[in-house]
Amino acid sequence: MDAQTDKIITELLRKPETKRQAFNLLVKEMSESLYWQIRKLVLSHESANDVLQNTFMKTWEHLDQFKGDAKISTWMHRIAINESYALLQRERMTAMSDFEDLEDICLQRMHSDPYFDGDEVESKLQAAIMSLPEKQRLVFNMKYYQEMKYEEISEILGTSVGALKASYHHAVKKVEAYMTAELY
Amino acid sequence: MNTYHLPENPRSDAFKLPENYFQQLEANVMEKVDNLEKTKQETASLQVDFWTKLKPYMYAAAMFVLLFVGIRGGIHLSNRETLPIAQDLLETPEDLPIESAYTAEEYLMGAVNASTMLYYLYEDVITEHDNQ
Repeated sequence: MDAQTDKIITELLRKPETKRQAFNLLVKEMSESLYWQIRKLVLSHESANDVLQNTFMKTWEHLDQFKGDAKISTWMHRIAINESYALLQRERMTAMSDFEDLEDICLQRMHSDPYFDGDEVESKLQAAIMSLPEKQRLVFNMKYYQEMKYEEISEILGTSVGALKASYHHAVKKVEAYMTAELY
Repeated sequence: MNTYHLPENPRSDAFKLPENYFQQLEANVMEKVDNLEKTKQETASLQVDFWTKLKPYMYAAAMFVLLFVGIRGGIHLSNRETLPIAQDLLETPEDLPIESAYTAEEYLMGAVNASTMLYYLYEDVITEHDNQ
C-alpha cells in the first residue's frame, strides 16, 4: 500500500461515519501482503488464514490506540508478526508436551497441506528457512519472498538497515549451506 | 564440489490458495466486524436498560433513607427540647418536691441490699462497728 493511500485510509478511519468503509478498504489493500508474510512464517494455509483474520480483528478492536506515529500498514505488519509468533508459541508448547520439534510440526503440516505444491527442492528449501533463528527467518522472508525494501522492513521491525542487511546476508549463507549439504 | 545458490527469484507456485480466497476473506472479516459491533451495541443498550430500570428503585431507596434520617433527627431534637435536664442539675435536694409516700423505715429497707443483710449479724463486723 503506497503512502498516500495509507494516509487517506488513516484519516477516514478516524471519522465514525467513514470508519467501517475505510476498514473495508484497508482489508482489501492489506490482505495479500499480510497473508504472504504470515503464510511464510506458519507455512500452512489454515494457520495463515486464522492468524490473518485475528490480525484484522485485533486491528479493528485497537484502532483507537493507533496514534499515527507510523503508517497503518506498518502497524498491521507488526500485529501480523506478533499474531504469527503467538500461534507458533502456542504450538511450541503443544510440541514440547508431545516431545516434538516445532519446526518438524510446521513442516509436516506444510506437506499435508492441500495448498502446498512444492517439489523436493522446495520442501528442503522450506526446511532450510525453518532452521534459521526467528529474526533471520523473518528478515529472509520479507526480503526474499515479499521483496520488501530494507527501509520498509526497518520501520516494521525497528532494526537499522545495516543490521537487516547483515541479517539477510547471514540467512542466505545458512540456507545455501543447508541446501548444499542436503542436495549434493 | 557443487554448491547450491539461492535463485534470484523465488518460486511462486509452491504455496497455493483456495479459489477467490481474498474475496471470501474480506466478506468474512467484515461480517465479523459487524457482528462484533452489534454485540457491543447490544451490551451497551443492556447496560443502559439495567440502569434505567434500576433508577426508580434507587430514588425510592434514597427517599426512604432520607425520610428515616429526617424522622430520627426530628424525634431527637424534640426530645432535647422537652427534657428538663439542665433544670434538674441546677436543683438542690432541698428544692426537690417530696412527692413520695415512703416512710423512713421503708426507705431504709429498700436502700440496704437484702442479700448482704446477714453480714451485719457476724460478730466481727458488729465489733468493728462498735470499736468505731
